[in-house]
Amino acid sequence: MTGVEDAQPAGRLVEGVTRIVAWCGGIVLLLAGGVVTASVLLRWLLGSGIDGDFEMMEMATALAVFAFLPFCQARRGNIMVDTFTGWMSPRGRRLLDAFWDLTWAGFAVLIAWQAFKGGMEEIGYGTTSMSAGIPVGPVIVATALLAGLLAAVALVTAIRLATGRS
Amino acid sequence: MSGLVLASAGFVALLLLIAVRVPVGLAMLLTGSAGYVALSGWPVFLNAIKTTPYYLFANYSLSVIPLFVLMGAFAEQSGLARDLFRAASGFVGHKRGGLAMAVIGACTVFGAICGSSVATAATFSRAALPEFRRFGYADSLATGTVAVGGTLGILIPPSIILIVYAITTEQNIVKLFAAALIPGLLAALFYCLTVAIRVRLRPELAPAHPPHSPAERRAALARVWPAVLIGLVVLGGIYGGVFTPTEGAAVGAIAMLLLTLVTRRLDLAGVMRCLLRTAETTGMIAAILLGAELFNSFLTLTQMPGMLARWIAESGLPPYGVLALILLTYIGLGAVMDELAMILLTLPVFFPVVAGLDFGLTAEQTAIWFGVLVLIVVGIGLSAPPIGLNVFVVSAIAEGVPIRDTYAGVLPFVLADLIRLVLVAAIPALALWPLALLR
Repeated sequence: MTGVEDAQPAGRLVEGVTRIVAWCGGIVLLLAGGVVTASVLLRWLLGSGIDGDFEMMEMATALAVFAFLPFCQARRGNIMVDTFTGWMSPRGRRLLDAFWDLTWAGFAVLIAWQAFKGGMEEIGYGTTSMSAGIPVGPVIVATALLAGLLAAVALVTAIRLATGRS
Repeated sequence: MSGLVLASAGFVALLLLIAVRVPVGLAMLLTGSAGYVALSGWPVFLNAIKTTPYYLFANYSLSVIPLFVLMGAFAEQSGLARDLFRAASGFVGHKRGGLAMAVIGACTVFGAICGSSVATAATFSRAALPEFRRFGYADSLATGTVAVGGTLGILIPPSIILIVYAITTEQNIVKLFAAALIPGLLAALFYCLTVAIRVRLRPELAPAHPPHSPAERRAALARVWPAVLIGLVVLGGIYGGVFTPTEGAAVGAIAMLLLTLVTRRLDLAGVMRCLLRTAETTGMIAAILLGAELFNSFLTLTQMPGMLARWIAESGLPPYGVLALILLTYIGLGAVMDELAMILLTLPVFFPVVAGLDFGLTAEQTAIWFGVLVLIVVGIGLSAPPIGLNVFVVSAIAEGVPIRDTYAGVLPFVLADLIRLVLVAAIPALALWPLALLR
């Protein structure tokens, strides 16, 4: 985990963006939590809650998770086992980590691209959630864009590791 | 048969990737995708990942995780751990070994608010270690107690590990929370007994010190009761069926936020810090969940788990023997890998096997009891050498204490955990009895 700020402006920009995106994800989560809490209180006081509060919670969770992933990658907070590579030189380990970050970036591109297509299809079908009637497609497209940001961040961390700046 | 070969190859490839520093989530993504493509071809795979990641996370049961993480982060950043520790040490701190027992007690209460063991261990390291030092406790007793106390974060519901177990095995979260309660409280009791025995055998570990005044005790209690009340309302509401676990977690997170804002324990910057902490923890869990989803789709395609379960059920092996073998495997795996990844990786294979065995319980009872047993071994894996995540966390915060000392301090507690594991395995009622009280 690197708490150190990136020396390069481009790296700093990406880190700043991931932080803001993670904040937004957290706020979406809090708002959905607020809606659910209000629904519970209304159900208790008036006998009926907010329709489709659980759907908002579901969508908010998906959005929040995808908003959190780039920040997690920027901090390189992914769980990894380093028990068996202690014999490698620090530089070797860095290059290895850079390679895996690059792989991560490639996979994130794949996920982003497929989710984008999937989301556009859902928009085409006009799919909405069951009770509250919220369109699903745009939310999926939003998660695709966030997966794209994840790919960009993984690329930045890979370059940072490979070029030896921490 | 080719399914079996492919599944085994998948597991081997996965372990190899993990050994060469591939992040666990990515390793599962890579091997899972490769196997998926090999079995059903590119077009089916590409089609599957169009909406699979979205629907994996747009899941009502799963939303419990970030909400409980958020609630825990608010509690953590607001200094609740320190206040709980002060309140507890106000009552038992002056007894011999009392500070260690106070940490266990405070962790138990904190565990009812926070569902993560690492967060609990980190918070209490900062809150309690300086006090231990001030009163001249031995370092190994201090750090060992905090590392083990941290596991109470998951042993006492809410528990992220139990939620993941519930989602993976499609079991009822409320029932799992209820089943974990008595074993969780037993853990706290056993840890306190361990402390009592150790300081009796070696009094120099824990010097005695004068009791706190009644006024100090009242002041400490006054600071903690609102947060404790929130924890009780959330858990009580979930157990009582007043609201779903997700609703409980949402109410808990919002209430904890309001409490910290009203009592001015957190300002806006503090709240933002909590959001980022939630982002990091949740992102870490999500990456592994996504990998496990793909890896498990691949495993299901190979039909290996079902075959293995049938084979073991028909082989006439004694059920308790199989269970013992599985639990030993968990203790072994937990010693070298991350616990969350471990259960996500193994449950698709082990769960059908256990479900196919006859312990004289209903299918649901077996599933829930096994969940509690898995939780206990996860707790052991978090604190036992050579790789105990909690021990690392505590050692990173406790400057100047060699990690060897922390492990030495942890070992007697691990013994207590093993005894508890055998107890709950031998007497399923310890886990299952509270289920009868649920509505």
